Parts: sequence; C-alpha cells; structure tokens
Amino acid sequence: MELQSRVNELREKGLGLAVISYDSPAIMAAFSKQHSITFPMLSDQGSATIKRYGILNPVPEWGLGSDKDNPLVQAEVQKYVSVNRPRADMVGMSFPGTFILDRQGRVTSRYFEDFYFERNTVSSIMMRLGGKGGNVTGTKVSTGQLDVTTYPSDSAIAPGNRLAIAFDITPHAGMHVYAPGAKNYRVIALNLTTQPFIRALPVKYPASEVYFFKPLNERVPVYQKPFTLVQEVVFEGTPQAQAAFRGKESVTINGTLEYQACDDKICYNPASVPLSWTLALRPLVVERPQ
Amino acid sequence: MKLLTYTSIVLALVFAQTLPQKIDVSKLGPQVGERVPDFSLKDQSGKTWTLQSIMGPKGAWLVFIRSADW
Repeated sequence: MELQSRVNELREKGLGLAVISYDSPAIMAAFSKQHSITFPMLSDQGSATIKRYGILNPVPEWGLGSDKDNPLVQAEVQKYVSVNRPRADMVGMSFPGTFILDRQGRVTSRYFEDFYFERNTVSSIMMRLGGKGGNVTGTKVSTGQLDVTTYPSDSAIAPGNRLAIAFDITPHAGMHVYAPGAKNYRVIALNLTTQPFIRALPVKYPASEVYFFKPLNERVPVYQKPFTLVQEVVFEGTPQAQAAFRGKESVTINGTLEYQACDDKICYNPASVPLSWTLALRPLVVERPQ
Repeated sequence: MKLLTYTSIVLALVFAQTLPQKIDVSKLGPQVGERVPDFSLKDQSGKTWTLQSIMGPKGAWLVFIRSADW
C-alpha cells in the first residue's frame, strides 16, 4: 500500500493517519499482516460511520435491485462500482477518498475521485499541499530569464492514477514573468501535448503580485520571487485505457512551459521551453484499494 | 388522513435516499471548513480509536477505502 511508504513523512509533518473501510477486523488484520501496515486500519462493519459521514456508495444496491436495467444505474455502476456487475458483498462500501483534517477535526482539503478506478497518489496529494512529492529527481533548465526545475510526484504510475507535476520557477534577479490576468503579455502557462487516455487538468497558480511599470503607468500581475506551478495529470483507468497501456514499460509526456519575461528595461520575446517526463508504468491491480 | 400524509412523507424520504440518481462525489460528505463526525472503531489489533486519538499535533489524514479484501 502506497500509504505505508509515507507514514514517516506524515508523522514528521505532525499528521496522524487512519484508514477506514467496511471490512471486518479479521480482514483488516490479514491485510495489515500481508502488507506490513503500521497505521490503524479501522473496521466499520455495518457502515455506521461511513453513513454518518455521508459517503456510503449506494450504487451496488441499485445495481442489484429492481432498477438494475435502468441505463442511469448501469452508467453509475461502471463509474463507481465495477466494469462487471456489482456483487452483494459490495453493499455497504464507502466512496474512496481522503479527508485532510486540522487538530479540531475540520476539513482543510479533501480528495475524492470521479471514477472508482482513479486514485490520487499519496505523493501527488502531498505535492498539491505544498510538499515535495515523492523525492523524484528533477530536471533543471535555465533560460536567459529564469530557472525551472520540474519533477513528477511519482516515478512509477498505474492506469487510474492521478499524479502531479511540479514546476519550481525562479525568475533571474530583476526579472518578472506574467501571471494570470496580465493583458498584452504572454501569461506563464503549461502546455502538455495531448495523447490518448492521458488528461491534463487546469494548472493551479499561486497568488501573484502587482508590478508597477512607471514609464507606461501600468500595473500588471506578475511573479518575481520563486514560485511553483502544479499540473495534475490523470492516467485514465477505463478498460480501453488499460488495454492501451498494457505491455508498455513507460510513458513519456511532452510539453512546454510558455512565458514572457521582462525586467525594468527590456521586455523579452515570449519563449517556449520544451520539457518531458518519462514515467514507469505499473500494472493496475484490479479492484484493489490504493 | 393525517396518518396517510405522514406515511407518504416517510415513504418519500425513504425513496429519496435510495432512488437512483446521478452522483457527484465532490458534494458528498463533510466539505472544506466543516468538522467531520466523531467515531469509535476497532483497528486490526482490536484497539479502539476515535477522531481525537488518531490526531497528530497538526491534524490527520483520514482515508476511506473501498475494501481491503478485494
């Protein structure tokens, strides 16, 4: 289980960890032993806690009941239960997802996936929370105006994984690049080359600052200090996607970092930095959590 | 008549919960800023845990999985 490999990191950050499912204590014990799990795996047999949280997955029951031939039910079964028919022992399970809580038990962020076969990797959640991801070595590129180091949250991924790619960008001294909202300048952006079954989600931009350019009496949103952009990427886990990834040992994603940089004297032409990431492909363990 | 109205309301509530409808998982369960419900559950070695006892000094990750069995 990927979580086990990150237990120490969570502890160092002062965060507790527990997993909950509707399985019996005996199943939890067997799983913990097999995977050398050291954190609590809590048994919610009967699903009372799952129901109180409002995240019980009702779809298995629909798929087994009198509405099983309803096209809407069949579509929800494919999305939230299984590509096969639901089994009776699936009734009571929760939707899979993660709540990140503060000391008072308030949700600070949450990660629930749209498809049952998609999972945010633990490293990608950490990266989006401002951490360093999974210690993957970065690639550093320097241009005349900035340095960029880019690294994926995970070095190996499976179909259905949602990972993140970070871009640590440091404008050179005196230089600024344009942030969303800047008019008449090329806003910094990531452009991943599309390929089947790999989807890029909208980039998350950090807060920018306003740059006042006196000669033009112009106020523009920019980045001048080091900042990080995070690009989420979904490797789809549909049967078609799994068939397409089958037998491949790795996948290469290509893209460009687009930006325009200026200092207080010179505005440079918009630039495009080609970048690529190669990720090892792990086979998907079908119908296994995490 | 009153009983009939009451019965139909109860029936409507029961069906509202079980009637198939399109699901949006982002809307389910506690949202950002909300406090999650407490619990008292046994772990793999029989020890009981609550929301309070899983907390580290800065909070916790609470991960729901489908199953550890299949």
